[in-house]
Amino acid sequence: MANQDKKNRQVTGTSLLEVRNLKTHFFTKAGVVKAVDGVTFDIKPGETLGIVGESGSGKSMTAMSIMRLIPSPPGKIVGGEIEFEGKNLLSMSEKELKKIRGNEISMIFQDPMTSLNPVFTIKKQMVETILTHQDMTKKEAIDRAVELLDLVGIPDARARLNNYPHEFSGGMRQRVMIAMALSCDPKLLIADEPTTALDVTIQAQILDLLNRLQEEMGMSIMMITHDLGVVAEVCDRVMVMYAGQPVEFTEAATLFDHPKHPYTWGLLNSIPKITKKKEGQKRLEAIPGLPPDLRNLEAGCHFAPRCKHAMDSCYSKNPSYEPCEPDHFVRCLLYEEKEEVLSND
Amino acid sequence: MLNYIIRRLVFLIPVLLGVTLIAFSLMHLIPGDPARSMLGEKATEEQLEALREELGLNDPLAVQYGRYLGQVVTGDLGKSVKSDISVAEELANRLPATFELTLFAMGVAIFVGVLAGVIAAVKQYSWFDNISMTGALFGVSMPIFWLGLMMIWLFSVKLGWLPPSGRLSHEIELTTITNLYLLDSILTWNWEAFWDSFKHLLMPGLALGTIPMAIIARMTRSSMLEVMRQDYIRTANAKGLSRFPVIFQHALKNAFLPVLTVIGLQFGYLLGGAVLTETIFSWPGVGRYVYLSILGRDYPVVQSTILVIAAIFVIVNLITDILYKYFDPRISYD
Ligand SMILES: Nc1ncnc2c1ncn2[C@@H]1O[C@H](COP(=O)(O)OP(=O)(O)OP(=O)(O)O)[C@@H](O)[C@H]1O
Ligand SMILES: [Mg+2]
Repeated sequence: MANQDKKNRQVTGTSLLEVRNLKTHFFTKAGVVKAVDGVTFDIKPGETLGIVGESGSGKSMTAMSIMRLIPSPPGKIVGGEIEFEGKNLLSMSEKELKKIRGNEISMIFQDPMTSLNPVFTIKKQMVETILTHQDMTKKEAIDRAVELLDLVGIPDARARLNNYPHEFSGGMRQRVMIAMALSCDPKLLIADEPTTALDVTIQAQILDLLNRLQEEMGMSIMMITHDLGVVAEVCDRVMVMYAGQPVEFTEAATLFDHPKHPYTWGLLNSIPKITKKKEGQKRLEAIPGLPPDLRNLEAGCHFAPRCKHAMDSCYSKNPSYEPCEPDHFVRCLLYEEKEEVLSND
Repeated sequence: MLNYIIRRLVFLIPVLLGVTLIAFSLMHLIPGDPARSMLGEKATEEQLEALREELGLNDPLAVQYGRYLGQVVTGDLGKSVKSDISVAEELANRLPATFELTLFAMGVAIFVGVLAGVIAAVKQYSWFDNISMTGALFGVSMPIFWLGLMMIWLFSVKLGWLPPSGRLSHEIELTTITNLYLLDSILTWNWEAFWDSFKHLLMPGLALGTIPMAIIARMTRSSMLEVMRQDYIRTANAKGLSRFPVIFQHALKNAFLPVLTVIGLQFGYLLGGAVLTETIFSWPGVGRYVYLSILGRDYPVVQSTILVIAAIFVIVNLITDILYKYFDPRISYD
């Protein structure tokens, strides 16, 4: 399914980014919103990691926690560790973080229409990024900006530099965002639903562009999306999130061929492209029910109320997040019980 | 852009024509005989007739208006019935005084107001936010005459720090070039005059600037709060920019648009409407001139001054609109 074989870049063993048991909560008047509640994953150099989940599952807040840009108040990272190249991002000063943001880790966002500042030219916005992190003259920075716009496929780059964002189409703006994000050769690019706001054909172009740039530049990508099609297209491994927690984490191919978590089954069933493979035009099946209110989560599995396979124990016992097979993490009692059965034998 | 300015300037013509009509009717809408209301009860019939003849009040209205228009177009703003001094000459002295006062007041108002608004927004709900915004609330509702009198009482009468009236002490010599005294004293390298005129300017300037300052501060705060939530601010932070450029470039340039509208309106309003302040501090500007002319029923002066003030107001608005383009490139003038 996932076209890993098309990729000829090197994914090496040691992690570039390691997130362990990350907890980011929002302290609002109406209660504590546990937006991110125990997220653990890692990204290897050159790898594309997908993060999928419904709206509100904490994908963006996981990303913003890595950038250390959680709006505070009301948000606060209350626990866990984030290590980037062995350096602890959570203990860094604002000054040290500025050297990481936009330089070693950069980010692109969902809506290219609003993510660029409307009152500055593209030139100003690109050059300031380059000059913030690199020791260059303004002229060299402009040349670099032209080079980058060329790279992301903006025709007539030098002339377009003097344009304002509103003079570009949505797809072109996302290209500008990508160029800006890549201007300092980041080791990690966080892409938060980079294609959601775009037309389907443009979506494919942007994904192709990201694939190509990754091959050329070798950075890792953290691809946040709610579209499993995107995952199939570009991701090496995937983490599925539900209600602020990871529920399944494995190779993209494995996730499509042997999904373990009932929530993942639900997601796969709700995507026609994926399901029609075997059963023909099977009807689209949305997961019934709604995600829980993150302010008062009940004991037990958060997905249990919507789960067709829920057992009595699911409502009382918190499933642990364990590998059920090597490199295949899942948070579900179905597999814990099995293990118990196995070990009882 | 140039096209736009020319178009706007052409468009000024009907507006100003309308203003001349209003200014003209002013004199004729007043019940009774204008000549008598100008000269008072004790005037003899001969005096009245002489004035009527002089002002052409015996001609049909249309003829009178046509004549008035002809004069205005050639730059003849008439002369005072009381002092016989031409209005144009008087305004040449008084406009710079008002201009200096307004520039100073608006300069302080914009600087303090914008800065306070930005800090209040960035530190929302902090003690600074609470205090400055409560202060601004008082500022907006402060009666200028009361504020002015309190200032005079404290700084002139009690403490004796600042002069209560005028633009310059009598004993100070100043060669005037632009008639903006602060500027002239800098141009002629006359620090004594600079300090003296600054002390004269301080109280009326602050009194006049209080309300615009308060309005600008509140406007800047709410506009900044709105802008700081925008996606492009998140982008600017994610790029690794420091707080200062994020707030004062990325956010403020966007947040400034609604503030600019307020500044333009207030500026025009102050230029013509400093009547109260100029009166309290005996500031020899246009506002005080209008005030004295109304008291003295010197209608030709009132008529022409209103016309000039209206013209300035309209021009300030035009400048504001042009500045808009600088702050928001999305605005198209074609
Ligand atoms: N400033 C905030 N105050 C309170 N709660 C917040 C705040 N920001 C985010 N949240 C909560 O955090 C949770 C996770 O939000 P997040 O933006 O990470 O979701 P997401 O997975 O990115 O969803 P989407 O697909 O819609 O982008 C949401 O339930 C949201 O209500
Ligand atoms: Mg999101």
